[in-house]
Amino acid sequence: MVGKDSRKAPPHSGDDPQTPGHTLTEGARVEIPISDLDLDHGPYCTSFGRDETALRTSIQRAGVLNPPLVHRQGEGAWAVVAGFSRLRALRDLGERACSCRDLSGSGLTALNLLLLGLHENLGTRDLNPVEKAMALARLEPLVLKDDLEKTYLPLLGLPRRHGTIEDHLALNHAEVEVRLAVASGRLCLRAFRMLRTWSSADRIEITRWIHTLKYNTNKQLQLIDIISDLMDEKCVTAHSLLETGPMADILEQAGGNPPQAAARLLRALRRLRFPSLSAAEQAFHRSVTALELPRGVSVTHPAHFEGVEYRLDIRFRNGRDLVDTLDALARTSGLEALGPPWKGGD
Amino acid sequence: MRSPGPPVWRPWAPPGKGVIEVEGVGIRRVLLHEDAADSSLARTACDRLKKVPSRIVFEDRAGGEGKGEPGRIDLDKETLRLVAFPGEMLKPCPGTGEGYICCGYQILNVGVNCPLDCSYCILQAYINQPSLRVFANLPRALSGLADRIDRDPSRFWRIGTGEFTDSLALDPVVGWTDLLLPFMEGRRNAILELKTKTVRIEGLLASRTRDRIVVSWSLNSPRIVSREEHRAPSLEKRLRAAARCQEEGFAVGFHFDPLVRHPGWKEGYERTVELLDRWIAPKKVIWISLGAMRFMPGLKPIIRRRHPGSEVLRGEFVPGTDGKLRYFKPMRTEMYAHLRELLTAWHPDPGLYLCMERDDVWLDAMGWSPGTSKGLSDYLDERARTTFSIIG
Repeated sequence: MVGKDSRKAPPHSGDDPQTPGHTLTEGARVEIPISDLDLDHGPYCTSFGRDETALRTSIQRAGVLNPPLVHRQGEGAWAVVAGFSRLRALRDLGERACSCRDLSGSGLTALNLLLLGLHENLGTRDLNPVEKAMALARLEPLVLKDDLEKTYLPLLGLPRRHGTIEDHLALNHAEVEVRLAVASGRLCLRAFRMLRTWSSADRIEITRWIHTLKYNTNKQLQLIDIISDLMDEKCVTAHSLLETGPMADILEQAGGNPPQAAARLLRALRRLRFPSLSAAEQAFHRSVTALELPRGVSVTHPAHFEGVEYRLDIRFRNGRDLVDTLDALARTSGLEALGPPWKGGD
Repeated sequence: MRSPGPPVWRPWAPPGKGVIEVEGVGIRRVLLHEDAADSSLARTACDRLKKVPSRIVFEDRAGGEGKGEPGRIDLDKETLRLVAFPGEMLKPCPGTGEGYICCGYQILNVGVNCPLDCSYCILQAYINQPSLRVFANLPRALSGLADRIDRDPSRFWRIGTGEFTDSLALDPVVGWTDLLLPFMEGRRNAILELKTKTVRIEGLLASRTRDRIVVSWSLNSPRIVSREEHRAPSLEKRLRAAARCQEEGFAVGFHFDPLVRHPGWKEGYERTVELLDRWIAPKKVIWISLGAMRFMPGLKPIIRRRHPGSEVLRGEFVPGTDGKLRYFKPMRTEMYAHLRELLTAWHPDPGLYLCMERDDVWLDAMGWSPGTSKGLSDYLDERARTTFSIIG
C-alpha cells in the first residue's frame, strides 16, 4: 500500500541558519508498527484537529505516496517527524504497520527535525491556531526568544507581539475540548485569550455552550465578557452562574432552537449584569408603547442613555402618507414626557 | 543602536548594591541614557542615588529597548531611566471630546510611569516601554517654555505634571521642584499644579516659591485607598501633608478621581470628607474635582490580570460616546450629587468641577454647567486668579 517517494527536504529558509539544507539524506526504509507511534504528541508533532476524511479516501484508493519520516529517540522509541495525518489515516483504516523513512542516522538536530516537519506542513496547508501553538511550544526550548519572535512568528503568520507567544503557549496546554474548539474555529482565539484566567472546568463548560449555541466571534466575546464581569462581581464560577435562574432554563431547552437560545441567554445575562440599565430600557420601551404612536413611527433612546438625543424614525409610502403620519404624530399626547426614565419620563 | 563610545559624563562612583527606599518608591537600578548624560537633572538624580547600581546605556533617543505591547510589558517600576524626551514637553491635555466637557489643562510631560501601582491606573494600558522614565532634558526645555508662555501674556496657562506620572513621588530623587518652582516665579500668566498621592513635599517646603503653585492630592474613600492604591500613603498621611503645605502658604486642591461605587461607598466618601474637614482649611482650597471611574475597554483585561480581586471594575459600566466605559449615567450623577452635598456642607464654594463629564450630568448633579470646555476652562482660570490674588 505504501508507494515510492523521491521526496526532497524543504528549501532552506534564508532567515534561519538552523533549517536543514537543500537535500536530506534519504534515510533507510523501515516498517514500523503504527501502535508503536505516538500520533498526537511527540517532539515534532504540529498536527491537531484536522478532518482527515479526504486523506483516508485518498490512501484507500492510491496508498501513501510519501512515506512518513521517523526518528529513533534516545531510548529506542520512534518519534514521528512528518506524516502524522497519514499515519492516523492508516490507523483508522485498520492498517497495522507503515513503511517510513528513518532519519536517525542523518545527523539532524532536534530543531532541524522539528523544522522539517513544520515546513512540510506549511508547504501544503495553513496551520490552525492550535497547530501554530504546538509549533511555538516545541520551538520555544530550542531557539532564543528573540529568534522565536523575529523568525518564527512571521513564519507562522502570527503578529510579532509579546502576548502572541504567551497566548499560544497557553493554548498548547489548554484542555483538549478547548483546543478542538479553537482548531475548528468554533472558539475564536480572542475568546480563548479571555478564558485563559478561568478555571479549567469553567473554560470547558463555556466552550461547550459556545459550540452548542453557535455563537459568532462577536457574540463569543460579549458572552465571555459579561460572564467574566458577573463572576467577578458576584464571586461565583461560570458553572454556578449558568445553572441558576433563567440561564438554566434557557440552556436546558437550547437543543430545540440554538440561535434563539443563544440570544435569550445573552439577554438574560445582560439583565443580570446591567440591572439598572435594563430596567431603564424596559421602562422606556413601556413608555413608548403607551404613547400609541402612529403606524410606521418609532422612537429609540440614545445608546445606553449616554447621549442626550433620541431618534425618531418614520416609514411612509408617499408624501400623502407622510403628511398624515406627521399630523397623527403631532396629535399624539404624552410626547413631551419622553426622556430618561429615571427622571420620571416613564 | 549606536556603538558604545566614551560616556560624555560619568558622575558617580562605581556601582553599589543599595536600593533607595522611600515610601512608595524602591529604585534598585538606574540607567542613564547617553542622550541624557549631560543634563543637570540626571546629575542630581545620579548623585542622590549613589548607592543604587547604575550604568550608562547607549541607545538612540529615549531608548528602543524593551518596547512592547501596552498591558503586556513588565512595567518595571524599580528601574529609573534618565532619558531625553525628543518631543514637545508642554501639550494641551487631549481631553476626551465627543460630548464631554474638559478643563483645558496643559500637560508638562516630565516623565512617564509611576512608582505607585494603583489598580485603576490608565497608564497600565498606555505605557509600552518599561521603567520609570524621567525626562532629563527638562531644564533645557524650560527655557523654551518660558518664551512660549511669556510671548502670550493675555493667555492664562494652567499647567500640570501629574498626567503621566505622580508629580512628587520621584521629586526627592530627581528634584523636579528645584527646577519647576523657580521657573514659575517669572511666569505671571501661568500656574503650575503638582498632583500627587504621596507625601514627598520636602522639595516644595525647601523652596521659597509659593505664588501660582497648586499642590493637589488625589483622594478616595478609605476602602479604595487601602485596597486599590497600592504603594500609596494613607489618606491621613496625604491630608497631613496637604495641611502642612497649606500652613506653608501653598494653594491646595483635591481630586476625587476615580470615584468608585463599592459596598458602602456613600459612607466611605463621607469618612474622607470628615478627614478633609479635620486637616484642611476649606477657604484656601483652590478647587476640588470629581471624576467617576472610567476607562478604555483595553484596560479591563489588564486590571484583571495585574490586580486580581480589584473592585474597580464592578458596577454597570456602559460605553460612552468617546468609547470609554463609564458608570450608567444616573449612577454617576448620584455619586457626584452625593459628593457635592458633602463638600458644599463643608464649604459653600469649594470650587467643585467634574472631570470629563457631560453637560446634562453637570446640570443634574451640580445644579449648573459650564456648558462647554471653554466655559469650564474659564471657570478654573478665574478660580486660579482669585485664589492667587488672595494668597499672593
